[in-house]
Amino acid sequence: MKTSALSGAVLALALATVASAAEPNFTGIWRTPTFIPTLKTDKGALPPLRPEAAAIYKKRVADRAAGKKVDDPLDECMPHGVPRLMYAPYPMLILHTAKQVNLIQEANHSYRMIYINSVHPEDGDPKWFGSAVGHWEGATLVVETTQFNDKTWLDKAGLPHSDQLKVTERISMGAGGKTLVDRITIDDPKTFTAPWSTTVRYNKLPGMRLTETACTRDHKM
Amino acid sequence: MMRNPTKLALCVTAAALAAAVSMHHGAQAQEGEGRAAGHVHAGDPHDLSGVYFVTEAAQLNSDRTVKYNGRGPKALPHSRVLWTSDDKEPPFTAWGKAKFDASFNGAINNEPIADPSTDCLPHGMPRIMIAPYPMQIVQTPGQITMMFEVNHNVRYIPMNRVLPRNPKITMMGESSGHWEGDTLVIETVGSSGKSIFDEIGTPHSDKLKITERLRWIKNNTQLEDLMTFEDPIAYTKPWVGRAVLAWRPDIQITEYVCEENNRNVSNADGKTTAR
Repeated sequence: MKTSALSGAVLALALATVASAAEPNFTGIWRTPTFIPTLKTDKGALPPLRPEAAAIYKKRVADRAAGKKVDDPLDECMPHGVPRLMYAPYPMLILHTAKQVNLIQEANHSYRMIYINSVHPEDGDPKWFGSAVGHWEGATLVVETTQFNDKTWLDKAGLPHSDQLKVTERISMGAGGKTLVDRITIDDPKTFTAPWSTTVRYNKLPGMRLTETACTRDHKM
Repeated sequence: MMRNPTKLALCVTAAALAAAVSMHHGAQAQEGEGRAAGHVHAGDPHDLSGVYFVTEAAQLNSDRTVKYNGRGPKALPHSRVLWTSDDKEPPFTAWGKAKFDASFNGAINNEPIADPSTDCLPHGMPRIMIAPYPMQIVQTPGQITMMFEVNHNVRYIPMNRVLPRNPKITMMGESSGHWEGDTLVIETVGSSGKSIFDEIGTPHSDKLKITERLRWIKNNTQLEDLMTFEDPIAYTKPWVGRAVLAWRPDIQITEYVCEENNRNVSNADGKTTAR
């Protein structure tokens, strides 16, 4: 028993050494330098909305432009959801361990937990942040998030989605670890005519710490 | 931890030899008396990574409420109360006593107390440590982070830092951790007086200093958190409270959105319980 435990540990050490050669560690504080109120595709176009979804989007945009009340879930302190949390204009702490990559947004201390080499729960309830599993493709962390509710907006402008949303992210580091890139692919056949992608970039903020913020109905973010 | 040796092996990174020896000891403990007591934490005692759940040890003994000053008899069976580790009333100052009485009198009459968590503010320290939901510890170089299921609270514990003399006042306060042998010592200052210790409103001021000592107990199945509270505004002398966190590698943190109020349900009598 002792021998097998020892050899197992040595094997694990060897595997960990091999793995760490390819996989970067994202631990640190990151922030996207630009606020993205209106999400566009990588080509700068409006995402390919189906007619019903386009009508919802147009109404939200028009209502906000006209100064009317819009029902942005953030105005009620509801969660950003995914991918909107990924371009919230606040610092984001990543805690990266072997089994999990945890993303903690300063905004309303919201967090996502990404389980590495795991599977989605079979009976997963719809969630604001969905269920996220990740795997490594070389130095890129590929995250698939699904099992969403349909209550969040994809951006401040009011881009809608359904509970059929599936988000695939390819997260990698650049500039010698000073920048992080998240290429986000959005697949939601009830809302969009085709999957589409957008890219968010982050700068590392060394030495910074998250401050405590809280969104309550009396204290909006 | 022989339930899933593959998963365990993946945890082993640097100190392979030491970890293997600990793993062996952990397996033995589980074969023996540890099995009945719960899941055994195998491996480096300084590696606290994983999920915990506050145990009944920290839960209010409802008799205690009933007996308090002879008032009652409405016990608060779902409440977590942080009393002294030898089951006594904390040594209130007049200020502390007045605040406590106002809150307690409300609590035993099922009236809402001034509880910031009902407004979706962070639970604050020390209350978050006895909140009856899972908590995950994530360890990264130089920092221990506690991620709580309830209201997605997060507590940051940088290691070996000097705490500010005039901390910014926040619900969770500012913390620094260090190891003394196999005991994790965490000092916390700047925890807002808006937060309360527990569900009957045991109070503190902004001047509270908390020193926690966390160590493995019960054959490495539980983490004991002995908390020393120093608060000259609310208490005449330092006192010690105790929480016990069971090691729960079998559960994962799930989503909790306070703002949606999707986890607490009220019955016809208006009693709110965790679902």
